[in-house]
Amino acid sequence: MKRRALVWAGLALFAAIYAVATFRVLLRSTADVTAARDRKTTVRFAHFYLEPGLREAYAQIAADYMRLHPGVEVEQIAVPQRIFNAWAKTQLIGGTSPDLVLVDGGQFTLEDLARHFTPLHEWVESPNPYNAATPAAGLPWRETFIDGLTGSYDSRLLSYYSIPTSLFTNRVFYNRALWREIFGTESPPADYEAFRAACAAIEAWGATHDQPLVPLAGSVYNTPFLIDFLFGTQTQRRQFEVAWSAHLRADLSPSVALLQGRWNFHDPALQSAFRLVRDIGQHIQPGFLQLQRDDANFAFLQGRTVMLVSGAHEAASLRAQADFPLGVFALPVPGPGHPVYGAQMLGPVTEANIRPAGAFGLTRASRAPEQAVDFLRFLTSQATAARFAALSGWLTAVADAPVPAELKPFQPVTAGYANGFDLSIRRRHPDAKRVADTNLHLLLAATSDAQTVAAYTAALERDYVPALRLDLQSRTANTRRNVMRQDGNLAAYRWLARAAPDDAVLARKFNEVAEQIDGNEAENYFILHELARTAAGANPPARP
Amino acid sequence: MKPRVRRSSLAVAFREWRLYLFVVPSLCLVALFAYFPAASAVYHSLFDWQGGEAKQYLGWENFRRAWGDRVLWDSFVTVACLVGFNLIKMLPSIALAVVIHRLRSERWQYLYRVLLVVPMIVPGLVTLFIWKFYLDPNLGLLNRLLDATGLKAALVSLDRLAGWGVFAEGVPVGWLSQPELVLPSLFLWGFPWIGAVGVLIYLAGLQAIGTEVYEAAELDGIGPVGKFFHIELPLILTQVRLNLTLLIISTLQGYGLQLLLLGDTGGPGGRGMTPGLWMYNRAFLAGEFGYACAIGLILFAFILALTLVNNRFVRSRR
Amino acid sequence: MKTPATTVSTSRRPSDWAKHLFILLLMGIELLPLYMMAQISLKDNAAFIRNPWLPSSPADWQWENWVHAARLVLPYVGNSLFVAVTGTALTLALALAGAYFFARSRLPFSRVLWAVFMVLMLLPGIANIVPLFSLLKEMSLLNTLYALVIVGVAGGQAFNLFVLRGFIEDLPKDLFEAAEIDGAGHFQQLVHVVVPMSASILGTLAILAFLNKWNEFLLPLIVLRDRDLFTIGVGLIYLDGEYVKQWGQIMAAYLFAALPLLVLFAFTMRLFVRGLSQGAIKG
Repeated sequence: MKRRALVWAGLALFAAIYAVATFRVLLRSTADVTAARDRKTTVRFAHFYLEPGLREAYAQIAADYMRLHPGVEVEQIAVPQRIFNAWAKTQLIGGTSPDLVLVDGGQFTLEDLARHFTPLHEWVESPNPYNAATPAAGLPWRETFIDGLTGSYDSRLLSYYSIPTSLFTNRVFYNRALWREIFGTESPPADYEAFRAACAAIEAWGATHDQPLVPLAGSVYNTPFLIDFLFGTQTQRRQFEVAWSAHLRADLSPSVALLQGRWNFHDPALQSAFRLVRDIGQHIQPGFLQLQRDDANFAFLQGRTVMLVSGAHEAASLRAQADFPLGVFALPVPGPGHPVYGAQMLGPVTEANIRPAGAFGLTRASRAPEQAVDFLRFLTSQATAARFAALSGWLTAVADAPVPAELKPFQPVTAGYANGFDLSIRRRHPDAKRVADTNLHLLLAATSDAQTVAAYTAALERDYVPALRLDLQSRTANTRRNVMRQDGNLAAYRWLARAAPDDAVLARKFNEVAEQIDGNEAENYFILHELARTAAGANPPARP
Repeated sequence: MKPRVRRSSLAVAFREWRLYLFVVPSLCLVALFAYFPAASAVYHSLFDWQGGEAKQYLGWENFRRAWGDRVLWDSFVTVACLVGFNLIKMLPSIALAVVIHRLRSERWQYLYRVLLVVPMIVPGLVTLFIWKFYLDPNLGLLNRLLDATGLKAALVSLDRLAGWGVFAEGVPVGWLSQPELVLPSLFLWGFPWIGAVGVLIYLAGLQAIGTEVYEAAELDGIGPVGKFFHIELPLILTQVRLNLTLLIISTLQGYGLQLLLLGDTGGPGGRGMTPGLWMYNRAFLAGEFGYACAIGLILFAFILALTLVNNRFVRSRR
Repeated sequence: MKTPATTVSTSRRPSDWAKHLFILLLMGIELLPLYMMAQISLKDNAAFIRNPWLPSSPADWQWENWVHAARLVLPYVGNSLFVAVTGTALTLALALAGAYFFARSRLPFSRVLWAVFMVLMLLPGIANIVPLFSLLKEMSLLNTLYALVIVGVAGGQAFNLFVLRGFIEDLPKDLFEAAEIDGAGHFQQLVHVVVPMSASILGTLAILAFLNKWNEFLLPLIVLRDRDLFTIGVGLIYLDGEYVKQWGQIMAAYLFAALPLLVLFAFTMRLFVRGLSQGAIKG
């Protein structure tokens, strides 16, 4: 019965390990109770930036802050992006969220922002104390960001809801070693046509050297950086013809105009955009629609592709991983003089309207909002922002902070014209975007240009508008909920004003909210009216 | 199940009331942690609900919307295909169990059983990684296999004949990026589809067969295939049915694989969208928890109906 | 295919080599992920890129991947072990008692109660996550391992009840009658009759339940906040979420996450295989 003894020994071992594990768990829960008694103020911030170096950079800055404020504990929570949505929404709804939560990427609706996040207007108008010894000393905090914080302002909620920390400009990364081998030089292509020629040359070189080489690495994450950008160049002009209504918000104009038949997918601008996307799409790694961000990085780092389109935030990790010299150039865009694509364009594309990223919102669940805001001030002071850029290799959203040399090529280009809309219509129409994305394969199929463009057009004509209607409906529902909530505020101000009729601040606030409600309701009724008006017929009559 | 006399049962209940205490702990836990959230979901399916306290009563609006929701009904078609695939995917396990059972050496039989259990320790994420690697368009094993065996050329010419527009020369097959291939890829997924627990359970059923049965069959001139249908299959039929039921339920509820593999929109053409994934999408991406609850309820009704039909079928066969 | 039985085999029937081949082929494919995990865990990215399929030469093995993995994964292992073992024990204890109730007698409401449990298996759970989360918050169980244990126990009831009821019903009735004549109450019958008879099925169910809880990730992901409370499932998801992957380190971590299971199986393999093979689970 030696074997039986062995089994018992094994089970005993298992039991012993279990006992140790249990002991540790019990020990920790008592330790937690004592820790809670110490009553240190804790500031937690959650993000999904798992790029190498980022967590370390944040940890460094948190440590600096804690040294400055011994009574405060700063803790970062890094959650993978794939699960961030489900994680953050559950925590917010449950009221257990960290003090600061990353609100990038459009994962939060107006409703989420209004219900779970604190408006920051009171804070952003006063100067950032951590900028005391700098030229920015007297400036309101708001003015110290490159966009003056306009990207964080929600016009429907009449306030600022986040503080950005970074800036993701998109660039083409290229493998200089391979480039030299193929072209005999390391200088990047000068314009769009040169870029296309280079792509073709790379493919030809791969075929003759018996080394399957693809010009551009791609994935469902990386490719939109390029194709949405290209798409936008072709709607530069059309945008102004479509933006017929001054009192509609920028993101609504194209979508309502589509309902009204002011533009459709057969427009020369749209057709031209499809063709442009197809032109470049054919040089992207085949099957990129099934690949993820790390697959694309992997293919590029392996030297299976010569170029990769990604954001400034990828630069540091690529540089750390690549065993070849890394080059960077701007996204290839056809100019206004281009024989095919120039007609729809106004001119070169600006990045001045780029929205800063890495924006943290202050949650209502925060038990130390003042402290959390103070930490954000520290994080976005000029000195810390420069330190953050140096530590992480990321661009900062803070204006006039010194930029490390290797980040220079990523600084936004400010000259030129703004891009028009793309099919995600400023990321505010998730269902419509889903339709555009899931049908993209039609545009990139192996058949002829005309066929694929026709197939994509047909699919969009069938599915895009119903999805857009759904988006608009949920948007109006959100606005309605928001108005209902504000009705309460309005009543409260009126009630308070009755007690103190001379209070000018109260009167101002009352007027602000009333005005906002009027604006939101007017917009809502307009959208609902247009939805109803265009509901019955498949082809709504175009207005003159 | 024997019919019981109704009148005596009350008397029994009085005498044996302590027996109820045995089920109370389970019942309380389940009521609190399974039924309470479920009931809350049912209740909220009638509301425009974003997950918090605020909600607005909608009546049947969510269900009316579901009725016209093309994505939802397409997802039911997809999941029906997946259930069909899983029926086929049960066969290798049955075959393997029968083959192991037919081995004469007890030692080998035992060894193989042990070997079967070993892959169970591999974390699911590893399997996911390996299969993504197999299906990768550029590096993947599957495309290399097709190229090496010349099957790719055959597929291309077949494509030209049938006009699918799926396979083309010189273009790697995008198993998960071409919508036509999403379902076939999900079918291939996990090949050779051996479920260790299933095989062991079938083997248990097969053990009831004595050698004399086989000998008698051989005397009657019954071949290996005949033996399977006449001797082996009837013995494991109950286990097969149980496995089938559990499999159908888990497939209908499933969304994890599709989420990890194809993303929350169901991949190209939305072909990998299942009702479970749509529910996840609506709840956590669109924030429409009320609508997600309604989808959940529809899905539940669907599964319940299928199970009842299945039960009736099983019972009538007994 | 009639090869004469010239080998040690005493039978006159054709030898089994075709069957062995079939089995080994299938097993080979099934074992491939394990092989890949083991061999990649000793490579760095460069070696993995050069040659994904074959192990690198022992001189190049990157043992520091293992050191890294051990440091990373071991704290998670402790938490997972606590959750999985406690949860498994409680699941089976409660399910056994419940199964005894359903198997031994048909009292009023027992059919209804049975349906109540069985319907649980049909509930799709995703939309229930938010109410469950709120409930756990009300009970101040968030960010604790106890929440995972309790919810896991509740979730495991339906399947285990189903199996155990069938098993207890098949036990010989005279055993219970003899015990009753000796004056044993239901609890004594459960402890002295049912438990000894069901050792192997309990072992089998325990291992299945353990595996289930070991691999769970959705609930811990949402419930746990502190990194030092993480269980294996969440820990691995976090590892997988990085954008530039060190495949060697990741696979080493997976390997270490699988080690406790390997140990468990090594000692209980007989029990597990025997339990399943004796027809413990049937329809």
